[in-house]
Amino acid sequence: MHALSLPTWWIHIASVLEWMLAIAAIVRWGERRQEPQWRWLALAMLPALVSAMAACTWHLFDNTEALRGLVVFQAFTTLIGNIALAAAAWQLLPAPRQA
Amino acid sequence: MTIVMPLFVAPLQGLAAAISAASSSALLEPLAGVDPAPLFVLSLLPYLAFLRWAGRSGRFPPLALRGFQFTLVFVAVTIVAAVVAELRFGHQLADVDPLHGGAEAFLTAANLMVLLGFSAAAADAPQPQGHEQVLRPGEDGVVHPEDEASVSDPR
Repeated sequence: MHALSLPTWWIHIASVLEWMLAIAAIVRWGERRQEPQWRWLALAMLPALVSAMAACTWHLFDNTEALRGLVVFQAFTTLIGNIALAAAAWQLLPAPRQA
Repeated sequence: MTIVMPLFVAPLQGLAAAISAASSSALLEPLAGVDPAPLFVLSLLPYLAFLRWAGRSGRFPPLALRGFQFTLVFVAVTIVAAVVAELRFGHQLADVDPLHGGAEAFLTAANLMVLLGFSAAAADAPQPQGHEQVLRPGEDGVVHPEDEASVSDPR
């Protein structure tokens, strides 16, 4: 785990924590507004979290060539996550209706 | 929020453990031969669609939307940092710590904007009061089923 300095580790951990808290904040924001569609956005943010875990795991193992597959997995989950985000934003487009 | 957090953390720790377990098996090996670069480039397209629709919906807190947009700045900085790492230092970005941390800090900033945008907005939003909720025209365009009589043709 020494490929990354302590500050760089903290920057990574902060990014991930913020993303998780943002997911929780979006759920809360949707509940406050009584707009259940926001839950889909929160759900759509989860693949990026998986992607981040893959990247951090690779860093944890000093970016070893043996785990190069993790980077590919990260890229794949990033693609899936962004498609999910686009879909979530799409269903937020029309006027919301009571569920 | 404090209740939700542990719910997320526990499965994530399991996931991280699963990933490291999988890595020691042959699961990741077929993946290792794939070039991830086209996947990262391709993932930009749905993200641009996301930004377009998120903006057009008019329903995102402005700061949160700016945060999601700022993520593109992180991507741009990462690309430049990766090229510098390769040409100037002869290493991949993840192995040049200052460049790696410096680039990732842009994502930390972007995510912070998303988090603060939704947190502040959620705190400001009035707690709905059952059926006393008043619809102001143009505020959010919500039409609740019980309001249908009032929006139907008055003839």
